[in-house]
Amino acid sequence: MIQCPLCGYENRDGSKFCGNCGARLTQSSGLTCPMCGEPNKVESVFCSKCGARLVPLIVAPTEQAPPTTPPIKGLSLPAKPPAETPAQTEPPAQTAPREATSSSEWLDRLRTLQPEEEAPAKPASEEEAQVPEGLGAPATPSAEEAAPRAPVEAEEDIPDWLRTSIPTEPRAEEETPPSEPAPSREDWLRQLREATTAVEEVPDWLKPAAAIPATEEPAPAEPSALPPLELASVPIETAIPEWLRETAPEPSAEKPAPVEEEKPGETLIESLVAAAPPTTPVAPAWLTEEPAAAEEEDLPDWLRTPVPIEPGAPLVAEPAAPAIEPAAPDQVPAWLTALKPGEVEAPFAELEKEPIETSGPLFGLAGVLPLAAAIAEPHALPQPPAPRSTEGARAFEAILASAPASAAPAVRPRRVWTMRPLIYLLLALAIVIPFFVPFDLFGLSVPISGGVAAEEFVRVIDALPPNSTVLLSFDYEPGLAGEMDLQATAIVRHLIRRPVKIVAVSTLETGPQMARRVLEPAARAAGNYDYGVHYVILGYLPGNEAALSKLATDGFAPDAREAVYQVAFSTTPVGANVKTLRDVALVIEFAGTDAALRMWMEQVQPRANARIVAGVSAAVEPNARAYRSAGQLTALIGGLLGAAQYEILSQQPQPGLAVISVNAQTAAQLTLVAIVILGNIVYWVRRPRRVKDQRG
Amino acid sequence: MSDLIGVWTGAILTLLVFSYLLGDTPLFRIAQAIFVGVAVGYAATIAIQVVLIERLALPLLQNSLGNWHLFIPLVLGLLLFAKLRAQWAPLGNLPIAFLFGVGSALAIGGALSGALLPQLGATVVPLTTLDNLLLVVGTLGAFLSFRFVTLPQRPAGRVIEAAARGWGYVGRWFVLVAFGAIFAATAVSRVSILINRVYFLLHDWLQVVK
Repeated sequence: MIQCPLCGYENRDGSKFCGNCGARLTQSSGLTCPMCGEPNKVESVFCSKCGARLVPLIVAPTEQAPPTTPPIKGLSLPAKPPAETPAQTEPPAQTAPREATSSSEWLDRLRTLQPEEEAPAKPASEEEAQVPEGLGAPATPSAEEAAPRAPVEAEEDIPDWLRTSIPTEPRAEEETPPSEPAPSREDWLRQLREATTAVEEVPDWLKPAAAIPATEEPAPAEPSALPPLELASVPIETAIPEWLRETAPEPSAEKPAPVEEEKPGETLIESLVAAAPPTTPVAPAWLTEEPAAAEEEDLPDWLRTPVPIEPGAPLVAEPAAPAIEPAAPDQVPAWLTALKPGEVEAPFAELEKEPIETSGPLFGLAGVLPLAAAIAEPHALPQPPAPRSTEGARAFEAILASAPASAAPAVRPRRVWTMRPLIYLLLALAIVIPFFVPFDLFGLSVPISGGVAAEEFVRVIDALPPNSTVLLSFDYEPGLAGEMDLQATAIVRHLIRRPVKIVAVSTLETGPQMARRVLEPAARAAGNYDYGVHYVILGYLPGNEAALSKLATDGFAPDAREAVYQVAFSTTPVGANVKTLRDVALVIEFAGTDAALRMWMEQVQPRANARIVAGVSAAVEPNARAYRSAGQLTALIGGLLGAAQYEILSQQPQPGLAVISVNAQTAAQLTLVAIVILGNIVYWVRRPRRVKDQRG
Repeated sequence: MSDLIGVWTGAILTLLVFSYLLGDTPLFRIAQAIFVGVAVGYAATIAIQVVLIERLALPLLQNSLGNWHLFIPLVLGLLLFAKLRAQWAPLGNLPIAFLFGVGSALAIGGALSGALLPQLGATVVPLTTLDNLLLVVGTLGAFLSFRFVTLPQRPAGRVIEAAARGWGYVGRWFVLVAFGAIFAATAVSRVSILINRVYFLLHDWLQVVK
């Protein structure tokens, strides 16, 4: 259902015009949140989705105090109970018309806001403009700044055929009880003049309220002061409902019982007002001065002569005219103070203090979401803490209140003992002792005297023709030199004894240094094996697969230089007859990684159909065996054991380092196996107790 | 004298690396930084000397017209520097694409001719010996263990599915044994390196072992 903003008539959903008064409903059916775009009810003050304020906080000074009249929804937030449902906040009959503009309209209006637009003294129509200034101003209470505009805008939206059927003064009709006929403006003014007679009929306890410039209470902070228009234009007797008259308390001249509703928010506001430092309202100068002659000409006769007011005089006989009397400063009502042009700008001055939004839909606006107003607004009561939290807080307080326990002596955390140092110690002993005490470990040493792979390798070397050329590729890093040097040294010594010529290359940057590390000592040991004549180090072959593929297809580069003296390879005795891999009798690959061996197997062996043997690291041996099984490798040895076997089978003149180290290798391997078995036994023995501890 | 300095330097660095047994100590960090720095510096020196100077700059300076083809890698290499600036970075994609393309072509071609076909041929053996039988069963079982399809649920399909699943289960054990062998071989390799380091300390540095 869509409720008409003018007459309150419930229209069906989708209606564009009110079925009762014909007012346009499309733009008044809701307010769009400027922050999240959520459509809200027209009477909503805060967005139901994000909580942003939907109505700008631009209020007259008199509106900051809770008004006596029922709040205008959307404008009087402090009087709105926090937990009140929208149905409970339906406006009474005398409320001002609801805000008929959409959020974008009031935002746009705020951006181009001019002080005179917001002045409450602006007449709602041309007819009202003819009303004298002193009377016209009270007709639009300052607490309802935008309210007088709504009827005019609503009238513009009404079709012509309906405009004729609408009373000429719908606002006056709304403000009067339904039983009373709607008075014309002339009658309204007349009633204003004759309000004196009506006031006489007011009960005594309401008389002070009827006389606005009462002397007992300061007007700006008086929450119960009714707008004088309503008292003046409408007979008080008719304005007061019967039930209120019956429930009226004992008449009291000190503080009349105002017709106000108990609002939860008002209690807070009143307490805040009471806590605030007292301020003495000061009458503005324009009220204390005598009206100018030109102004007096515009005044009606009954207003030309101001009626003097005595502070102690009875209030019942005073008409509404005292609103323009040069009263004492503390007698100036709040609504009248707000009408002064110079003070109307006060809200805007306050807004200027607020930070101006620089982005978003509130660009250029200030005070839409003021922090101070949000703090002063009534909030929902905080939820009481949960009992568990309360108990925890009490326990914490008890702990804090209790006497501090005597400081226990600092206990050093016990260091958890692990078997790691023991493993290190056992492994170190297993490696070091065999160097000093060679032993056979009860026959458990790895047999190094025999080996099918090493025998194949030795036979291949022995089958090389004398003075043939062998290509050696040192493809291992210095980190693997401790393992790979043993194989390379044993094989190189065997090659030197053959004798064959050696050409060394590498696909790694560090390979040439590994070649020199092996070849030069072996050549010196041989005595008659010279560099350039019997062996050459060609150096680094950059390009990985591409370099090997080119080597397999095109052979050695014509301008290749050896790595030691930078002499052209083709000019050396070794390289004079070596142009391609076909000129090489055998390729020996020393591979420290799978990648190095794979490059030779994939790029060189199938293309050049070369005979390749490999000495590889123990880590590469499992994969290298596949090449040996497929016949791509002619022979293969791996690791320290392969080196030791090769040293023995090649009948080295003196035992090499591989044979010396093989006992340490055997002892270390047996130690590792024993540690693994012992660790598993301990694990399975302690497992039931550990599982029991975990379950317990 | 140089050998003595080299031995002492090697011994001290070896002990610094062994300090890792006590934890990630600053001594180990020092040795690690030295090794990384030396390795990178040496590799850069070799690359500049062997590649840029000997194989590119000198041939171009000596005979530019005769070695005109060297301008191609020169331009491609210079385009790699375009990666330093975001606006020119797309130009650096050209040499990278060239490297990836050539590398992929060589790797795929080499894998086919040097690994896949020879290894498949090596499994075609007569099942006359236990070794050959284990070779065939293990190879096919390893293939079936990486099977990610399911045959149609027809009677024949269910039988074949059950057989393939069982054979794949056996093949998975072959794969596990192979992984275990590779791990053990790697451990043996590292023990060999450790033995070499201990022998260096005892023989070359302390000279207590002949």
